[in-house]
Amino acid sequence: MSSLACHSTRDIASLIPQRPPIMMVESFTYEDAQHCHSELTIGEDNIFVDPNGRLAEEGILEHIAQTAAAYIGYCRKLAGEEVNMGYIGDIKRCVISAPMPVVGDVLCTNIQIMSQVGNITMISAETTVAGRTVVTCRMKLAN
Amino acid sequence: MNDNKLYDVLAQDGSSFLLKMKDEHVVYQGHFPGQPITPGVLTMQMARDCASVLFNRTLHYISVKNCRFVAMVRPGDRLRLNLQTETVGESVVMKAVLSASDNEEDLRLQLEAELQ
Repeated sequence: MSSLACHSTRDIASLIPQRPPIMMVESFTYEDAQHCHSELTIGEDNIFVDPNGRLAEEGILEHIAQTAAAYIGYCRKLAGEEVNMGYIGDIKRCVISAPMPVVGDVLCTNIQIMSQVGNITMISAETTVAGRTVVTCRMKLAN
Repeated sequence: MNDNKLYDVLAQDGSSFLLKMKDEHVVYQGHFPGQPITPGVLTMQMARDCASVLFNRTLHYISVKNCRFVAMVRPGDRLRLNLQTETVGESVVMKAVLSASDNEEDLRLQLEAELQ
């Protein structure tokens, strides 16, 4: 892999340690050292979907965290390291705008990497559905 | 969650809940294989669920000022969830603290949020 090229993949299992039934990223694009993008089509069997077909807000936050995890995993692979387990340290400045997406909707997430020091990564994220902003937040992740 | 519940409420005293994480749940198959850890966002959902019980309606987060995942939650854990809530207009402003049931200094989650 080249460290500079934009790179897209649907092989998410190679980048994050989460596995079904809680894989919340379907495609991932490393744009550059500060930016990445992901998408997820909400399936009816998604673990965060309620009986009315509505995705819980916590599912979007998990999707954002796993997008950041995929970025971290990608960087680790570039450095020749194994993908390891990661955790959310905190969530701040989070705004969630109803209505929540439903089965069949596509979550599109753009992440900006604010800082990466050792095993701590700070990100700013925005998730849109059909062009409408549904969640914005900052997250700290440890891996 | 479209699956069996992740936890049981063992007791409720006003806005203080005694919870026990179930020993098994399908989510642990993927989080993480062979190393079950409760996803942090599902501890946020537990706080929201319990707040919904208090207000007798389904609440949803509309903003999260600060949510700190202080330490891990694992299957089988017995936990104490203390909620402080205030109604402001149509919103519920909530502070939630999740700790081990037998040691309130063993913090797992601290949350400040607004729900509707």
